Amino acid sequence: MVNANEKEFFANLKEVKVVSTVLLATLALIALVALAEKGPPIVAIYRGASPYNTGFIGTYKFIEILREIYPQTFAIRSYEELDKVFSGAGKCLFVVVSPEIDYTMDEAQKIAEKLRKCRFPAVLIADENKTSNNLLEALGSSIRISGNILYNRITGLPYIYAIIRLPTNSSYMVLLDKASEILAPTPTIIGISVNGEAVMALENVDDLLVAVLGDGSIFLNQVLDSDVASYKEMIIELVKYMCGDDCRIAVDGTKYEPIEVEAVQENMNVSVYVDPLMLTTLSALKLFHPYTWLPWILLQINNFVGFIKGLPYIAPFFVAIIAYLVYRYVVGKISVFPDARIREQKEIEIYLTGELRDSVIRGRISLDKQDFIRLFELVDSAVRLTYGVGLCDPDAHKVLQLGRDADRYARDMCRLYAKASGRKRLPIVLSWNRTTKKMIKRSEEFLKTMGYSLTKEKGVEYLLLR
Amino acid sequence: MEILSQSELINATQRTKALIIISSLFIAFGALYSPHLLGTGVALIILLVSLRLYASLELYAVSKCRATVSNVFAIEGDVVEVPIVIENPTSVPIATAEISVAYSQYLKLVEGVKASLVLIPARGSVKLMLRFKARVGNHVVGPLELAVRDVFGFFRFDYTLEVIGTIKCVPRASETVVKRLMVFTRTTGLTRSKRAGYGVELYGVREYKIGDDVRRIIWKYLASKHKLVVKEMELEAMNRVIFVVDGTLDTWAGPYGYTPFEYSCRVVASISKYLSKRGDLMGAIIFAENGIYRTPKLTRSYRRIIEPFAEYKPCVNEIKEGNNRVIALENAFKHIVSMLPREKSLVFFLTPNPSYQYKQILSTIAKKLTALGHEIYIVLPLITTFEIKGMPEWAQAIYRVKTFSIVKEHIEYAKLLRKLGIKTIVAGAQQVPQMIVSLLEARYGY
Repeated sequence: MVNANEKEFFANLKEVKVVSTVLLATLALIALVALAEKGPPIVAIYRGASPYNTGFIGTYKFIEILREIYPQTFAIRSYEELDKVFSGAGKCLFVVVSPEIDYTMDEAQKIAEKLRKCRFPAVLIADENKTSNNLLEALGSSIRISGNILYNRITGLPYIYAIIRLPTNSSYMVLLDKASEILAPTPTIIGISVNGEAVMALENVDDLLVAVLGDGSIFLNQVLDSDVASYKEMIIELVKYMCGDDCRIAVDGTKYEPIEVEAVQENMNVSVYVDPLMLTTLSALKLFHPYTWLPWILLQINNFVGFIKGLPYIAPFFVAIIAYLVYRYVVGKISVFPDARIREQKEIEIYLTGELRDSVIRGRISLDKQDFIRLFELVDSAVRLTYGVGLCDPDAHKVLQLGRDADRYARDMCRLYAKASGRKRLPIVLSWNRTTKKMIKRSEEFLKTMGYSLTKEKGVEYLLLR
Repeated sequence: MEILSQSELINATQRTKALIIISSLFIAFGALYSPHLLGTGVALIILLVSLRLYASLELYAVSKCRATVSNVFAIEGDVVEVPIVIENPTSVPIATAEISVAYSQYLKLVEGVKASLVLIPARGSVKLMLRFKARVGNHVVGPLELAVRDVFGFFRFDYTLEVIGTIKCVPRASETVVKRLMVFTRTTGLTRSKRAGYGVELYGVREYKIGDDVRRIIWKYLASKHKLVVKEMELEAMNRVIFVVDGTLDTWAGPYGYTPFEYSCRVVASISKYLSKRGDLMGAIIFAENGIYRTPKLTRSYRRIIEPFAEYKPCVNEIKEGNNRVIALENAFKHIVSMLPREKSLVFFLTPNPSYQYKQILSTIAKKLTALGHEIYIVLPLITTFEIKGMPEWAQAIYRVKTFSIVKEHIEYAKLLRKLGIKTIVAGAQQVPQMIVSLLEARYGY
């Protein structure tokens, strides 16, 4: 049961690409180049009794029937595979059906040697030619295939009936197709044609059981797919006799001539023997193989680039487009961030009169009429608090006992204050900025005589705070 | 909180863009003219990819880094050392890490650097040493902001190492002020008030009056002179003083170490040091936008009085909101009432530059406390006298003229409060300690 939190968690899960598209594309390109580099694909099919042939005269059906009973049934492409199939096995069976290529003695020795890895090896050979005789010799068997085709003495055709009596006491009458006579000692013969020729023999060579049938036709797909069940029954009974309940079976697929797909397509006679579905699949496989199309595409690109290079006015434009596309692609993949210096901690000093303070220190302040009024009030307050009279009082000069300069200063201050407060009009033209600055300097001189200052940290305002 | 993935944290720089342009050109020219150029272009792209990978490793290393910042206790004016150690426990060296140390905006760094470029070796550590001039309050140092780049600076990511240290600083008591106060005292324990009242020192004898405690009758005198006289004791001049200090943002106006708040702290420290020797009971309340810092109850201990100053955190919000200050003062009132004893006590408000609304609340509070039988003093430090410090002489003159209206306004306000019966002092930067000392002296009757 998924609870609400888990639901929310899964709902919030972001879709994450574990492997990027570019990486995948790069790996795919490498694989394609590698495949193309490896050369054209060997897409071959078999028309004979090969276990890989699903056509009429193939033995693919035979393999399927064996696999139903013995899952460890394999069609082999090389004799090295026998090591894997047979090593450590109890019972094993090597099957050869109508090989197209002769076994050399070396190959036969190798097969015999590998068969000895099983505790109870067995060999089943169904062949109408002499191609398997080297193998029989290497196995130490006395049975041989004569290679002489048997004919029906009545009809004169190469289709002849034979009776096969298996060691299990079952007898089967089978119609053989272009069968060959078997040369074997009499006690080993278990199958005889209606003409009396030996067609099948079974022999024990030491621990090796060898069964030889002079015809491979009864193992073909067309026979096993037919309505006649006796062939299938006989084959199963024979294999069960040779294998028991548990067995590893290797069906030889090495001795058949492969045919190129193109050859099959060109030769309609051959194509009759081949499964059309298989033919189509293999043709498509060859077409999709990178070797088929990749070099062609690269060649076309190369030709196109060569063509562009030959156009003096187009080439730079083309370079610019490629550069732009590469640039856009790479920049699109990353987020670009202005690499500024890291922010440093600010140390602040707060001033409630900060702007005014800054302007005064920078000398960007301009003084006006109001500032002069403030200056006057400041000086006047200081004088009143110290002497008890105002700066502009009529008897101030008597009380203050000012010197000549101070007296003139007091007169100027009063005159300008009268102008600033609107009681007098003169002087008509006046720069308050310049005048106030000048009067500040003169006020400082005046206040100094009283023991106060405008320019010291403990200034005249302390007088007012008393 | 949005969680960024590693790819979102790491960003390319403008240098990367330039390199991509160059490599794109190489690739484009290479595709048409020379395979060598194509190889160079691809090599440059591979270089970028490699450096991006290295940046990812650096991010991993940084995320595993451990940082420590020491906590320091100091006295105002001291130069305090704050060591910061960053340890890299991984096997990945962090090539270039630009480190910026965040700290309280009210602190001033006197030695060391705010931001530096460091290389943190694999399984190694780096130590940064910062020296600050200590300032009253609880100031934080940290976190550490890191901008980490690859070797060539093509990729960068920013990271914050969440580590915090503190500098707790108490105000320094002015020895001059303390000595001046001591000169006027006659004993170190109790101070004689020269007034009759409850106490242990004999003040004199007088005739018995109805209502006198019979235990005070001098029986020997009655036996010899047949007259009822009683012993009269000298009133003990033990005070109960509460300092209410304004710690709102407005009080931090002024040069470093010379703001009204710091002046107020120094005054409180100096006077409380003196009062603690006298054995007076004291309390301190600092009110600020972010809370109230106070002594739990009245105490004679100087150390306990200055403790709240070390806990006080100045408000870091630069936007001034007048109402916050009013709310802080109202909150402080509740604490003052809870701290005040039934006996008559002195309450000093040290608060500068009041706004109209603030003035209303302040006078209301003062009236309420006066009605409760306490003596209230409002000390208004004149801000302009603090801010004038450090200006050239000629600039001081102009500044004084320009700000004279502020001075007048303060004086008028003080007059208004005085008319309401609230003892108010407008004090300049040079005056605050002396004025408070004078008030205390006057109370002791010297």
